[in-house]
Amino acid sequence: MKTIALVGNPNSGKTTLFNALTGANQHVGNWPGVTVEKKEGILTFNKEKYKVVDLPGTYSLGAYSEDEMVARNFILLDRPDVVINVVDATNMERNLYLTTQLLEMGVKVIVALNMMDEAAEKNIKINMDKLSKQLGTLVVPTIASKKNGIKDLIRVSVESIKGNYSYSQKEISYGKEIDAQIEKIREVLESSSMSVQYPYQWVALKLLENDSYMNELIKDNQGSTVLNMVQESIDHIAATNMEPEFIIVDKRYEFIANIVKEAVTKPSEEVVTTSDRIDKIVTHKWFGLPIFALIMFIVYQLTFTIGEDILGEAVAGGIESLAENVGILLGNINAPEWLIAFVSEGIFGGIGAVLEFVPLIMVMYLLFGILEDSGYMARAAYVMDRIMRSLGLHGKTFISMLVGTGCNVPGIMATRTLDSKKDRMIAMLINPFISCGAKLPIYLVFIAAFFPEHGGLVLFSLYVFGFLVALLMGKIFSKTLFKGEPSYFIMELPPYRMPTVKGVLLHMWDKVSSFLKRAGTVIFTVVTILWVLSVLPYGVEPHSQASILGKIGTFIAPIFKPAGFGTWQASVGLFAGIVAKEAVIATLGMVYAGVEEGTRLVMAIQEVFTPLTAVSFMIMTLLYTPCAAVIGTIRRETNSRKWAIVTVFYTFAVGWILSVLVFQIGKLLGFS
Amino acid sequence: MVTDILKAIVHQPIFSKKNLAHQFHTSEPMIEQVLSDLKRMGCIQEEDTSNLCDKGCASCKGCPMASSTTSNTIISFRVTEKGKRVINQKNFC
Repeated sequence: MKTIALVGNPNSGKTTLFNALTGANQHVGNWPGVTVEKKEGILTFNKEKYKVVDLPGTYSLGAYSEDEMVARNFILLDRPDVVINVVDATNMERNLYLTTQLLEMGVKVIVALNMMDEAAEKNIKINMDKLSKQLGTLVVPTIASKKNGIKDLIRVSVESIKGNYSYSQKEISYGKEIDAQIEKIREVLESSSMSVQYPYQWVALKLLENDSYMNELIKDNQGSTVLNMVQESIDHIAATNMEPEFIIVDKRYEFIANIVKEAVTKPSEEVVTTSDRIDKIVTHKWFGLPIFALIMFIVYQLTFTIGEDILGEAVAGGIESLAENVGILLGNINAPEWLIAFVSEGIFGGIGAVLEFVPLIMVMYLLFGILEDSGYMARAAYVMDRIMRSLGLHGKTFISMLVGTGCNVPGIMATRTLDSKKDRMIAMLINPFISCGAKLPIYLVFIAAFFPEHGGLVLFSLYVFGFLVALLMGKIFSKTLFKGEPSYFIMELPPYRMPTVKGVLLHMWDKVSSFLKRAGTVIFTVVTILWVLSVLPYGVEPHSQASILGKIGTFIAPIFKPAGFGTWQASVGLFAGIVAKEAVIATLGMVYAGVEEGTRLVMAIQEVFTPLTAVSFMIMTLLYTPCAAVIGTIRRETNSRKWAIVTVFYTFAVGWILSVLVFQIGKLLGFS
Repeated sequence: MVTDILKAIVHQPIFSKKNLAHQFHTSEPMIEQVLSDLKRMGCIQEEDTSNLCDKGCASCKGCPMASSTTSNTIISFRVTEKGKRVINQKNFC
């Protein structure tokens, strides 16, 4: 039975055409040795049957993927009687790339110019005669979805199989030099005793193109002489020109460009689109950064307006009322006092204090999700790239910082894309200064206590401050410990798109569920341990300075005295934060429970902190030693304990120095 | 064209396919094809930052928040040694 192969780009309408040709007579299987689906069908025309094989959709016929290998091996080894190349008429240039490769194979090709209706809608005019002449193949216009042109295509294919058409398919010239080398290699292949089933002309071309599969095949056929000769040819061409593979690919594009120029008329596209206009403003050399800052400020402001004012109060009220009811319930069932105390002080005082801020976290990540989904974050990376470079930092450092705003662990992981060790070391060492999601509740408590009117501005300032410290430290590292020029990278600006509700909600849920999971695991464990330490030894007043926890805090407290918050409670909170940053608030919630009526931490904080010490404390938590997971990640990623220990101490030192400076300068200026 | 586009994206390291298509009087899918050729020829390497965390955190159980942080809108490429060699080749036009 004669065979017709269908080959084309993905989404060129190839499968629709296959269905139109074969109807219900189809068989689906797998190509031997691979997981690529094999579809065959039977076409009956004038009582004669033809086998139609739907080859995998592919953009080219290299050795890059299984799909490409399956398609090219079928065409070259199974030698179908005719190959129908399905070309999307709305996307001629890219589709013709595959066509040129089919022409190189020297097989009988018929071009089914599909989606002609869509091309007409887009006002794309194609001159069939010129196209056919340029390619030297038959060209049949089709609309497979409407079964238009199918009969013509079948008729032409059958006539072609029967040899009723004379073919004068174009042979692509790659320039005198390469053409001559192809000929030379072909002759050597022909005169050799190798059992290569592929056409020698094509094999010669592929060898010059550095096709890995073909190189291996020749090597396995004791073709080292041939390969040496090919290498000589490549070196000879490269000595006076480019490497042959570049020339060959360039010639294909040139060939396509000439065809399109001759045979295709497209309406001139709008040169400046709305997206371009937006990009011109948001990526502007001078305006880009202020716009980015403004957008971030709006995000933090909205976080407070929606998260705190609308949702936050309701959740806080809910948790408080739940705490009361659970307390009453435990009292009614005569639960032991220690359990009642643990639930009210540890669970609701500690974890509850963290959970109150879930609505704000939800709102913030919802807004971040919108920015990411819309494609704006890539623009932000573009804007920041210039600044990073001017500081001697790699542009990709900003991407790792951006990732670090969620969690510093993946932020440090994201530095893996940096090639140079010095770029990567800098990016890893400065990432802990980027405020992660877990630090958010700390800021939110202190902002709610002292700066409720300027919540957005304070939050924004903290993030910016952390970012500036990271840049400054990066600059210092690049000038001292890790000298050298930053290597360059390339980034693609994706088109703007409308964020989807599902995508944004999923993004938000990812963050919030992780936060809740953490509250239920790590924070619960930390709170339980700290609660036990705060009520021992037996007989002391719970949560007092006399408890084990109080003594630990008292021992650490003098370190923080110059920063204005040298209390044992604040010290214990910061200490717990090295395990997990959320534990700072959970611990404060627990140790301050009972300072003021009710369990509301915000009120307790107002009692023991001042606005100035609150700012100093927030700066300390922003910058000081990262959590254990981050330290562990730095150790693993640098493969060095030394750098993990350096991170622990240098971040602490930076945080301490800056919070002391803020407190002391603030005091001198008369702030309290 | 393939070498010209390689040169263009190295000299304007933040690019959009659309702008490149305008610059080279071709279509965006064609630019995609050229980028695919450049990747195939080993001149550039695409880096997928969105999956880094999933891969990297497979062995990291330290932070449950780790797996939820991605930056999936940023597609970056690295110019390989071969790419740099091609750009610096004296015959590069």
